[in-house]
Amino acid sequence: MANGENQNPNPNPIEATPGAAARTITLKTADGEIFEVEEAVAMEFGTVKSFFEDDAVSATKPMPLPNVSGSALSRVITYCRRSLEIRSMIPPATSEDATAAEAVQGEGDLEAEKAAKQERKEFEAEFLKDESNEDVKELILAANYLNIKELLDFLCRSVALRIQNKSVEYARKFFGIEGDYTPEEEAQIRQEYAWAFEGVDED
Amino acid sequence: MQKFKFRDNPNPKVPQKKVWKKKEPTPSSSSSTSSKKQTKKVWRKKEIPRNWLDLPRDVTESILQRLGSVEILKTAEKVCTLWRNICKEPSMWRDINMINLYYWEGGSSDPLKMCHNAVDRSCGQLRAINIEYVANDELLNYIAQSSSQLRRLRLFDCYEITDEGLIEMVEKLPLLEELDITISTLSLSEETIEAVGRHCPHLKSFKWNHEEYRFPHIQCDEEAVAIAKNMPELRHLQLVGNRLTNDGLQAILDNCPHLESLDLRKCFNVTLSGDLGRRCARIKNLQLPNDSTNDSVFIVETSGNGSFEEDLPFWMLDADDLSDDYEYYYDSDISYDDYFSKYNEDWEYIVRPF
Repeated sequence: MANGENQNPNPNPIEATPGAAARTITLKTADGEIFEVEEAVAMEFGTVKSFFEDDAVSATKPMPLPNVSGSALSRVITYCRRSLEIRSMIPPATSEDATAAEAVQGEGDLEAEKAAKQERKEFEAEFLKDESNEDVKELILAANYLNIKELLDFLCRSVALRIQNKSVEYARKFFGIEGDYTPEEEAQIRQEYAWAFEGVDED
Repeated sequence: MQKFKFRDNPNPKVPQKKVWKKKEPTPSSSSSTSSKKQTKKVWRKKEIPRNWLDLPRDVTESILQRLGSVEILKTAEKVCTLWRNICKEPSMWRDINMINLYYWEGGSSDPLKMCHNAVDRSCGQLRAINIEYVANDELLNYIAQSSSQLRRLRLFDCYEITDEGLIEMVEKLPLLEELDITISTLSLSEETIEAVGRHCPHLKSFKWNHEEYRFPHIQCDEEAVAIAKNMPELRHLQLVGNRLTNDGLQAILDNCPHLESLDLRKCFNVTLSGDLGRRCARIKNLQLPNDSTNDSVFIVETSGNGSFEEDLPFWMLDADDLSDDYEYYYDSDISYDDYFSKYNEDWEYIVRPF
């Protein structure tokens, strides 16, 4: 994949943060793309985090990600960045001995939490809007490899949602799986689970 | 939580970003002489170059788990042998959610059999189970017999269970930490509460909720006092629609020193003023008698757009609380309109029928 193809998706603009410059970590994908990512975002990737914690490797050398493509990584970075932003909307928890006055302030926190939740829902709804099945699968593989629990949870949830309450055939089609039961096995299963067959909507 | 390891496919080919979703599925236009089944197969292979069986097993497990127990039994495990094998793993059955069974009572489905089957599959590793409507004493006993490690139990509107059944069950659940009985015909006598307290010394969360407040002027502290006497380790107590008075509340506060959350919605015989009010204010998560229950599962109207997740144990299905907030989906070979209309049907289907 040529670098030129991914103009827009490189989510890298290094923002001018007030005070110290944001430390960045360089990542190199399977298809040779280089990404410079703010440290905070890169540390969301469990794999990257352990790489830099265990090794006294200098952060200037690009870390290779042989299992992730440029397009997937760029989406992942977008997600993690936004996710961090949303999380920072919630102030840290108040202390244990809250008096009544602080309890009221706690309500402000509750509001912030609600707002953050709403933001997250809207963001997540948008995030997968134009992704094909293949793209989502790639994202899942990337999130799994990079060990990003939140993203992986979200993706798995979304996929499950999609096949919720659908028929077996639908699920097969969706995942591109061919049923590998023989007709006899299939009949046997139907019988075995006769009590579980009703109630699925038509495709 | 699970640690996701990338096991199976260490070096997938670099993907082409195909715009295959725009292709029109025209299986019948090609070789019309071949059987209809075959043409369909050909089309599928062309459209989807790699199939999802490539996914690492634990990721597939994670996806399937979110379908919920009933769905797994009904659909997921019939898809192919790999999925069936995954669906038989005891790890998939540590948290069982038997919900939405109501809808299938009319058909040939047998919800009780499903529950039994689900419990069987857990092979004694059951940690949490949530059953709506269909539980009876026999099922409770069945669960207890095989799942002494149970930590969390929720029984929602299970009108066939009795106090005796519940007592018999908790006798075998020494590790129980959370007990949620929401909407029930149980009388929950002092004897029952005492049994729970005695047999479940680790109980940290107790929920005993009523759907509506039927007799506003009747006062009764029996339950509250029993809870105070028998459940000193409680961190979370939810007593929506309870008839306790300030005396009962006082007893609870006196005897449950570790309370972190207290839900007293619709407890209209309680007045939180003065000293009592001050003591309650110190509880981290306090919900007052007149607080709204609109976001709660007890008083659900027909719309499914409440965020139930605050009131449900966290281990309940994520998919459930997403409900109709997710009005998109990522594109595939089906047109957006088809998706959208199916989508709405699905979520109406899952909404609770109150």
